[in-house]
Amino acid sequence: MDREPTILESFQQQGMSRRSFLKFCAAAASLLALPAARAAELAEKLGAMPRPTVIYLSFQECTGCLESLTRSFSPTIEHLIFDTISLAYNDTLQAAAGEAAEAAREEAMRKAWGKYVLVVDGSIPAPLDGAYCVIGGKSALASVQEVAKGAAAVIAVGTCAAFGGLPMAAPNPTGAVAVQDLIKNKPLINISGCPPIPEIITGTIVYFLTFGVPELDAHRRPKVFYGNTIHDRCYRRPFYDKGLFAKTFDDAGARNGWCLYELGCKGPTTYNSCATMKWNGGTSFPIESGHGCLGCSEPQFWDRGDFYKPLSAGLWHGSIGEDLGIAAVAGAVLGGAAALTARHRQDKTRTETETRKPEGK
Amino acid sequence: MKPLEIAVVIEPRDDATGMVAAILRELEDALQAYLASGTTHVIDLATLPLGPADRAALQQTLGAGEIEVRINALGASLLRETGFAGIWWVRHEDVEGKLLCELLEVTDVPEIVRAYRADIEAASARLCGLTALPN
Ligand code: SF4
Ligand code: SF4
Repeated sequence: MDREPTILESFQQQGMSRRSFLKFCAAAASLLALPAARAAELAEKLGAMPRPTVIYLSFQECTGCLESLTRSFSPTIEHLIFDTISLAYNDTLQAAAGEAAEAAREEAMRKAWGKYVLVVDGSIPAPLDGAYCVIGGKSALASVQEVAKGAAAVIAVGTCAAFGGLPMAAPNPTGAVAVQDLIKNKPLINISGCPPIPEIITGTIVYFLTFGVPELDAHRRPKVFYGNTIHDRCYRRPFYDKGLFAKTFDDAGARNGWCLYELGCKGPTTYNSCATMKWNGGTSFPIESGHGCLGCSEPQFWDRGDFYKPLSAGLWHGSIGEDLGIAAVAGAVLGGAAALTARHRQDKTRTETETRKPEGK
Repeated sequence: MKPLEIAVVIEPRDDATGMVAAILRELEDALQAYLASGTTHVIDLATLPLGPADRAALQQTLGAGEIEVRINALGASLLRETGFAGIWWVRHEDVEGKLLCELLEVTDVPEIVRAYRADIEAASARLCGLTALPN
């Protein structure tokens, strides 16, 4: 066959049936909460399109995001995304290494120039021409810029790639920046979280391949997954609304499943789907295990003060805490206030991110 | 060591959310649309806040029809015709038996059951290969 096989054909070449493909599409449509008509369109469009090329670059990261992704629902679904739905180049997953791997990537880029999807995980150190992160003699800075040039779109996976994450935490010794600080002229989607929920990564890739860039929030995250706070959907919310808070991790309140707000839960200012999609194939999420949300899908979450002090204790950049302090006693009022402040912050940070220039350049 | 006495209390939810009535109305419209123009419809149960009571009520109202289809593709799938012809209750599981999605499909036969022309062509070619006399 001269042309690239379609996604459906490559499914079948791997010994999987059309029915498996339809089932995969049904699961993806459900994940993306697509309306009925679009769900049918998903199977039709995805099946007929040529297999896309995905180039996955990893920089300053801990491989947690890739771990999360490769543990995604059943092993087969991850397999589908990487081996069947797309032709992926990823230095951690692929068998080839060193020069052979680089050559394979360059060849793939040349063939699919202007059409491939670039997935980045990890932040990028900008100062000294990117000298703090060099792979195969090439800096992360140069690689990401070069590969992005031929990309149809860029997906930043994980809080490090999306917002700088841990490498950017104060005092940011390497001058790490987010992908969006460097790549300005391409459609870009951020999938934040430390790590992100695996189904969000696969869901976003599938959505992008079929329908293009989804509707994004102020931080360029898909609204379908980052439209609500953890607190909006938390099952402990009835306790919060009644003002019933656990005061320590082992008091009667904690044992009775009361709200973890006073133990530092960042749920009210954190946009993510943990409370509904949950983790480990839908088993549970951190708050269900008795620990507050750390706010891992928000920018600068490492530097927002103590994980174990309540939001109202003047964290998350000063003034918000002051506004919230008084309301902390009356739980119900606070929910709205915290959420409002978070939304305000979201808009504000967006403007900051856009105007901020990468340092050291 | 003394075991911790942990009793997590989860507030019971209100039983009837009114969701079932809404679903039945949607199904009614969908059946009429199917009859009028052949348009199929899908309701994704995961997107609806159904409590256990709602679910039981929905199951009871829809009842069971004559057909049950079990599919083995990427794990098991169970497609049951409800007591209302044209309405199917579909459950897709992954290879580990975890629920991937649960749908109500309005159609004569769910798409996933049909054998496709291209697959039948491939099967026909294979069968020809088997029956061809060795020279
Ligand atoms: S503060 Fe945290 S534990 Fe409490 S209701 Fe909100 S998200 Fe849940
Ligand atoms: S509950 Fe909060 S800290 Fe935990 S994974 Fe979800 S967003 Fe991150």
